[in-house]
Amino acid sequence: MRAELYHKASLGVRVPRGIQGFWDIICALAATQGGFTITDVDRESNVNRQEIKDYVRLLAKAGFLAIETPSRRGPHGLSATVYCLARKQKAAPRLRDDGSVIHATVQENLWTTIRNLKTFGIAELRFGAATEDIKPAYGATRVFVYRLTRAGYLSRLSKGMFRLKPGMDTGPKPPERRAVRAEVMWDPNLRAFVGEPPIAKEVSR
Amino acid sequence: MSTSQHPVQHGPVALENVASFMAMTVRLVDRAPHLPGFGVCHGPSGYGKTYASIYAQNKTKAVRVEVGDSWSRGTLLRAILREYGEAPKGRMPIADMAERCIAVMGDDPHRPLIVDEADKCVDKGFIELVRELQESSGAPVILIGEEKLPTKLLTVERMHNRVLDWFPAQPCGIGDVRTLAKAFVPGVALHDELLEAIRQQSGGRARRVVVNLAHAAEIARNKGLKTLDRRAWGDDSFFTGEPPTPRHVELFQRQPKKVAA
Repeated sequence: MRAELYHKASLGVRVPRGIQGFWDIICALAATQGGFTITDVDRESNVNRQEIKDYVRLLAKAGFLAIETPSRRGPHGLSATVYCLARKQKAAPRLRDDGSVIHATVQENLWTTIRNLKTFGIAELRFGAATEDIKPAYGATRVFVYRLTRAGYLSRLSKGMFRLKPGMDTGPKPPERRAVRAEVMWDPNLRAFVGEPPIAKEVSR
Repeated sequence: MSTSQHPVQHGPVALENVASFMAMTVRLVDRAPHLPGFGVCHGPSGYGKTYASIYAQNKTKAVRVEVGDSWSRGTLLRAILREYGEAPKGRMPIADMAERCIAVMGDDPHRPLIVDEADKCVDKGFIELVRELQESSGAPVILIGEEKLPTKLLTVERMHNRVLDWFPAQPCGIGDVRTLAKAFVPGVALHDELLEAIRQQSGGRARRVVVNLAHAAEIARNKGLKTLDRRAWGDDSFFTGEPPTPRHVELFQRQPKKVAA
């Protein structure tokens, strides 16, 4: 762990990845060259090709991409499917495995409702956030509110009421829970972590 | 955590105002391109306009800003950009911000912009700016405001004929009170007589209905009741939102000091 490595890693380079990254690449490719193949998308990103492949195929299944008929011959004489953009939008479409679109998540609805109501109880929050396809469960709502309170977004008022701190209304996207793994030095005498802020790795749970 | 105590929420769409607001939103989003793109929702406070806009936001991913009392054109544009995730870093001329606003709104012309407390825009004289944003981008804009909002908009000549739909929020009906009771007093059956009393005493304002329902829930919990009628409510006063009547202070005059003989 040499300091030099960190300096290299903290260069201001951004490689688009994740579905929003793939989608941005696809939109850019569609704007510049029209049709594109999975390899074209792969070239612009640095993740496992399979991830891109899965997402592009789902997009085609959901009708966001159309398949152009004459497929392209690759350098090895293999044919590659050429896709073109059928439906343009800014945010990357979130899709289930069967190709259906995820319009909203429970957390998004809850966060929107919290930002609107400002002061609320769990019952009001659940009522406000419910739509035909999203029905926040009591437990899930409480857990989300509890996490936001612990993270300092909400202040707890009396009688089971909460308020969004005005300074913590950070924007339209809901704060997400992330589990990270990091190596740090803990000093039991000081009861504190000592040293530079560590480089944390995201873990699944 | 039994299911009867925390039933599945059906959401605010069961309220009439929310359903009508959503219908207006859908009409605006799906309108023919040559039709005007403004929708106006007006009504006194506490009629459920906020819940209506929350629902529309959750369904259509609409962007909402609430105009503050101290806002200028710059604050409005910055707030709109922030909601689109495009907040400018540092200072930026108003014209540039407006241009950027129009660009991001035009990128997604099916995503409505909801401007709450829109009467403040008229008062402060930047409703023309909102009109420019709508006209140039083609995205639907919904103005929410107090009861006088339509009258205020009439004074702006170029504004009022660009409104596709006017929607006055209606006071709660008995069906709305029943829906709210199901959501806020779960597991307790409230008699129609009591629901009607709550509706009348609340003046049909959803916010006051909810306060009264919270009181009903408390009574049911304290007395361990599963059904609640007007008698069980007893002589407790309803939350009507009325300010206290003036007291006759002259009746409570100070006694003159007794002088020792």
